Amino acid sequence: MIKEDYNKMIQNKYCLYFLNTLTNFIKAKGQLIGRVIVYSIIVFLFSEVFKSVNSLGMNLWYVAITQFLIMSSSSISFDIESDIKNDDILKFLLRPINYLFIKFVKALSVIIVKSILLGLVGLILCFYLTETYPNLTMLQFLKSIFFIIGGFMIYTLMGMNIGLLSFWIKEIKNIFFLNMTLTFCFGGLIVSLDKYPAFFKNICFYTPYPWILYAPANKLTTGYINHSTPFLYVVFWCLIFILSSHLLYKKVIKNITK
Amino acid sequence: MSIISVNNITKKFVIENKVNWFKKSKKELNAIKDLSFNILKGERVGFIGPNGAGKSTTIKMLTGLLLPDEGSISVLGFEPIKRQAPFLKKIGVLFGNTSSLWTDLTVLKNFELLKVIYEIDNKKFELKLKELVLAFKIEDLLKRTVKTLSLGQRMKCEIVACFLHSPEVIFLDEPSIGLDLNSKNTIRNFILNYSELNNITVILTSHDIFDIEEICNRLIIIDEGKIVLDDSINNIKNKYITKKCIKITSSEKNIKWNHHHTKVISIKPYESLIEVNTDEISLKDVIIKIFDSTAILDISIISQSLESIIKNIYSKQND
Repeated sequence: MIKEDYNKMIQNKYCLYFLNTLTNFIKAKGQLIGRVIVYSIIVFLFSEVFKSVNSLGMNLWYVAITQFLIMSSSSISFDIESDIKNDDILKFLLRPINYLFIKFVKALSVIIVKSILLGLVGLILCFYLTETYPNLTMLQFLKSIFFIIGGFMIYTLMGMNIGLLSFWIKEIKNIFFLNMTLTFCFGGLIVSLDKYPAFFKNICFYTPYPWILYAPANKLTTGYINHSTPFLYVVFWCLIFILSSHLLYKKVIKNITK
Repeated sequence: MSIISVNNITKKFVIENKVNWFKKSKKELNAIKDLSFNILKGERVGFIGPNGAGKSTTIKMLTGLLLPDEGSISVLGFEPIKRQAPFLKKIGVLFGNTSSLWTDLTVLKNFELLKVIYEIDNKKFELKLKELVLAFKIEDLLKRTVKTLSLGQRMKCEIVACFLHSPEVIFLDEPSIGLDLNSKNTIRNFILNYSELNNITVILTSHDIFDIEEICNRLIIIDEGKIVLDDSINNIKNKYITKKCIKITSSEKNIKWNHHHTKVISIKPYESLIEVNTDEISLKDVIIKIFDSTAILDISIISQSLESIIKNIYSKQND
């Protein structure tokens, strides 16, 4: 049965590409080990900081989760930028495949490998350092998974949009770092948005950033999100970025083939 | 019946130059001017022309990578710019200067991915792959990642990828660029034999005239976006070869030769090279005269190469 399903799966071009990039990324052991080391150092440093102010517990879990989300993301923006700059995008136009979807599939395979690895490391480290764990019901845990996937989706789709901008902008590096900074500030990288002043927190919720970091991290550590319609907002931002990337892609292709 | 039909296409590019912080100057460049031609099934057409003549622009328009400003293009009954899946499945495209393979995957994984992308039947794929791998002798390369291959090895794999889904029309833009003689020969022979055997239409651009001479049966010369010449290679040779050379080895150390419409272009002891203007005098008459004038040990006729014919056409064009 499993073999049949696998055979069916590899008959789909996107599934096969996903499996190929997944296995390829697993083989890049050096990159993965480096990431695990950096992630462990960050978690350890924050554990020392929180220990010094006697607030280790869930604060460390929160930071470990937000760092896990950022460090598991893919470099889709630079991947698309390189395709556009090197004219590699043309090879996709000459084949019966959807460029954006194939890039998304590649990003997904990278995220899966990194998130499984960093997730496990984070779980072990946080439990070892705090000697506690988030007290969640099964439903809360499942909801947290939804928000983690939602966060990855929004961040990846944002990256896709930034990458496509490289057709007009010489280097997207600056936009990428600006977006990253905004994600850290408005998303609540180090402390939960619940600890922000009310006025600033309200401003944050007008942006997509809280749904990348705050929502998944807060849901996983405390079991709640301080917002009336969190599910709808995640879906809303995903749809906005899917639509904008589609429109941007159409514009890029129109300009390339003009 | 023509499978590629190009009617009065034009293409302009706007080149922007920054004058200062606020101002940009725009200049229009006519890449293609009112180009028309038809290509029949099974024809192997070579596009040549100097740099910037519009060869690659034409190929890009035929494959759907560029939209013509005016005119219409039909390839296999499709409008290329729409890039519909059935159209893309019927064409194979190779740009010599860029890789169409996924460089971080192995060669075999690339081919397997292409099998799924082009929905090739398992059995057909295995047979085709076997045939192509054998033709290019790339069995050892299958397990290697594309980025570790040399240019020649990669190019062979690119060609296999291009032919894998049995396309009806193949577009090759500089397929032999940067390759050594052996690789060039393997690629040329394969393209020629495979397209003849399977009645595949080949559109080829190359700066290497030998690519064109060996693969194509029709030549289109483009210059400044216009067709300068469009004819079969045989016709071009017959029409434009007005001079032939006769190489003689004689028993005499120095031969005496002085006839109208011929010229001795090199004399060595026992060996001479005579140029004949075939527009003015027949080759047969000259050979008879040679046999009358000296004792011949060996004689051979050397034709003008396609390269020199094209050089002449270019120089006439510039005059």
